[in-house]
Amino acid sequence: MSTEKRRYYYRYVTEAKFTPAVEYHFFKLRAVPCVNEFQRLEEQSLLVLPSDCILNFSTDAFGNSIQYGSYNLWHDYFRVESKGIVECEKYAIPDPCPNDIYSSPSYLIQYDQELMDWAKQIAEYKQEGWSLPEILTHAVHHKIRYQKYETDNTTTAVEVFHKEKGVCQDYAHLLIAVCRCLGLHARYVNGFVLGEGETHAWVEIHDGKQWLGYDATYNKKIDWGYVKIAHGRDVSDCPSNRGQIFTFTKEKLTINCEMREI
Amino acid sequence: MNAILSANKANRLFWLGRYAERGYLMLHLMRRAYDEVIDVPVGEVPYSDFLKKMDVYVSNEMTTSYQMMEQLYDPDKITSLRSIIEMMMDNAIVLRADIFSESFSYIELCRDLIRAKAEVRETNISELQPITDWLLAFWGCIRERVHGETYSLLEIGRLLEHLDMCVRFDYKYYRIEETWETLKRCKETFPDVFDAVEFKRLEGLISDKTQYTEDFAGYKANVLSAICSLVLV
Amino acid sequence: MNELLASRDSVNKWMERYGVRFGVYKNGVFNEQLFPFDAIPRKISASEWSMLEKGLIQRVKALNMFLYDIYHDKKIVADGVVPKEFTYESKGYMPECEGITPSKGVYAHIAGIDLVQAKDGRWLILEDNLRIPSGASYPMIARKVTRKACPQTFRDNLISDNRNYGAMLKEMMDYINDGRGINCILTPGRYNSAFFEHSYLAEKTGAILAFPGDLIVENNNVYYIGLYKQKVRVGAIYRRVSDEYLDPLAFEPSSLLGVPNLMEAYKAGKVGLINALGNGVADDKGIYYFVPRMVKYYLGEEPILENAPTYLPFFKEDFEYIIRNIHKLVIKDVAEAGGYGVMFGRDMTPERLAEVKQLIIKDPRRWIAQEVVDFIDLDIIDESGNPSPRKCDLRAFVVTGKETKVWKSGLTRFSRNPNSFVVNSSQGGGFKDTWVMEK
Repeated sequence: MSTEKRRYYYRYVTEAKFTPAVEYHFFKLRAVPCVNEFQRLEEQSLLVLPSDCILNFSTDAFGNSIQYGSYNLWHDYFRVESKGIVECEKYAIPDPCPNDIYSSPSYLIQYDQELMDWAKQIAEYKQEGWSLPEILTHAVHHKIRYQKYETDNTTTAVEVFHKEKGVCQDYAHLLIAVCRCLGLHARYVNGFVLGEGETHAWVEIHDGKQWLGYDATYNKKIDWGYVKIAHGRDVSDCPSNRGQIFTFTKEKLTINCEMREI
Repeated sequence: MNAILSANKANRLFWLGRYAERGYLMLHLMRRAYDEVIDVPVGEVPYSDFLKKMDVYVSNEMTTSYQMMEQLYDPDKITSLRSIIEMMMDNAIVLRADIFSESFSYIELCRDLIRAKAEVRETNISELQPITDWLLAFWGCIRERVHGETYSLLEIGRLLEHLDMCVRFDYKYYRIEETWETLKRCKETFPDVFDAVEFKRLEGLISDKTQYTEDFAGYKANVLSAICSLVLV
Repeated sequence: MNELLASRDSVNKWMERYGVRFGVYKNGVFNEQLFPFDAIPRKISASEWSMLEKGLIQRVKALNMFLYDIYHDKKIVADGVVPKEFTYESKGYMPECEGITPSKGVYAHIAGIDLVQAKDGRWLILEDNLRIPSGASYPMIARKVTRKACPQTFRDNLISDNRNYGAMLKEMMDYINDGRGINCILTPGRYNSAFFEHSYLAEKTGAILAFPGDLIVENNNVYYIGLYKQKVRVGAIYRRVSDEYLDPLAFEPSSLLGVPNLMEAYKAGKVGLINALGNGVADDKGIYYFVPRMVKYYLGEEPILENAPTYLPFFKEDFEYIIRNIHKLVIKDVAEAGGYGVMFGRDMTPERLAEVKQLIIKDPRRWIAQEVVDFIDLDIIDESGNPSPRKCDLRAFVVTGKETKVWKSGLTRFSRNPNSFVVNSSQGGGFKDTWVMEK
């Protein structure tokens, strides 16, 4: 068995500015990499500003760690910085009996007849040495054109299928939809990839014994270079950052991620 | 025991108190105006004094009797009796658990009656007498059942509105002084809801008896504006 | 009975006076309507009630055990009593509730069970409502008012008092609260169709009526924000806001009706939610089919109350029966409530029947079919002042705190249209008081 290990440094910063200032601001974050069979946290720190905000830690129903709380006093600035070092093995998560919620339709991932027909059609495609998940990943990758600002956090898999445009999250949703149409267990993952930019989204598909990673955006099976934060049925189960403010304000949000091998 | 109030409920209690008093006094003053009109000599414009005091512009385009009708029933005119009663209801409806269904029912009765009378454009104001009776019953019911801060906020609203209407309609000085004294006693039990600066200003204005004359419009406007910003809920 | 009929106007006046209304939106405009009240009560004899009471308690106990099981061990699925398609794929199933045990282990604190009485006298269950069943306040206040207007009737008949509903709720809320803080009733606001009920129940239970924005979560504790930002700890929330709007950080992000991070407080066991989250998995029209089996499975007892004869197209045998007999069945969409999504085979054209068949073939999990039950009509006094028969159902309220108890009354709803079977208030129906006789 390979026990090859690689180490990655990650840093995730999100900053919000509010005009006018706000009070009673609530938040829930999934900003710290998870710990599992292939991934271990060597070092980690989480800094939330204003520093006297209320911050709690817990685990959600899908097993992801969450960081949540509130800042009740007036403020116009909110910042989260999460950084650390992760030690990874090759991407695989053993799970003898995957939960059936991952093979059933979910909030953003339902299917229409056309989508189901398409799933059956692409599953027929054969290519020497390719597994079914790889074939599906390939098909989804070529179905969608990468384009920003066409979709958002409420875009469903069916909409993406017909629009044929979107970003990493939409690629992931469509791949999951196709898998579930075919009776496979598939779940949505968010996390970091090598380089700089925003958080990334990909898919874990169960092969009968374990969850393996597939990235339809970059059209590949995942082995290295992906640090996982959280998973769920679709993005609505595991957004990396959600906030709630009840008063009127304009929010200017910037998100920055970087990850590199060390 | 619904003793814990949110800021929103406190605000609504205060305004319920104000509107209930405004409705009561408005009807009272309108009845008086209707009575005075009996003796107005032919050729003079009836009701113009009442309307001016309610800040209603008396125009040549419509008759003042028509304006009085609007003053009763027009749902789009914020100073009409109908609007005042609708606003009473608007505040009361979220306060049922705090003031109890018995008190609440009198507001409901007023609202249903004014809507019914507006429907038929009732001109005989004595037909609205039940509203006066029910508003008095409402206050009686409040005294009977409601205590603590809930009661104080309603009472502060009532007194403040009373003061406002007394000044607006040139009541005798001693009536204003009496109301102010009662309001000051409320401040002792519930000081936090009063704006200290406005309180001082109003105290200064009212205690200066010499300024209180019928024609001194600027003084009146000052008192009314201080009343407006006296309570912070 | 004559006294009751003679007092109709005065009773209705009293109801108006107390503002017994429900809100409706018509063309986007909010209006409050009186809920039409019929003076002739539904009478249930003591012996009949005692059977109903036992049956309802049994059913609600089984439903509570099912909810615990589904969110923990899932034995009933593993044992093949309920197929997984009716749990995980149900819209009401919330994976977010996996492993959470609500305060005192109670899920369905207030269950509204809808029944009808067939012409042969049998009572049949039509529907379980385990999320936010509403309507108890109407017979409560109707009783208060009719007792005022018709004292002799109440002296002459031995009728169980139903004005204790507030006390029953309070006792249950206190038990769930466990001394952690105050009790609150959380309303979506005054423009909710059941706002009268929210405010009336707050008055009758002594709970604080909380509006969106009044509650906050800090370090997993829930607080009511009082005047000048004073914080008062909340121990139990009878929430009248549906699951998906309850916590914008856990569910529907656009919800302005919820309490952010309430889910975390609930998970940490710091607040009781009445009813619990995720109850929808046990009360949709599909799972209904399996409730008698739950009774046997969890309690080892024969169900005292039967379901109306129901067929699930999901099962091959039932599917074939439905396709053959669709013209005489009622077809219901499992995802709909409030009388919507109900189709009577006998009212449909052959073309429409064919369409519905296709719908069933395409998505068998989405539909159930039931025999049209010939149920007993009750007389109402119609617009012309004459007695006239109407379809009626009964919503019984079953309250579970330390024990499971049935409120000795219920909401009897009738259809205003003599030919209609749909009795929901949102569809223009009216209501009657329900008298449980002492003898």
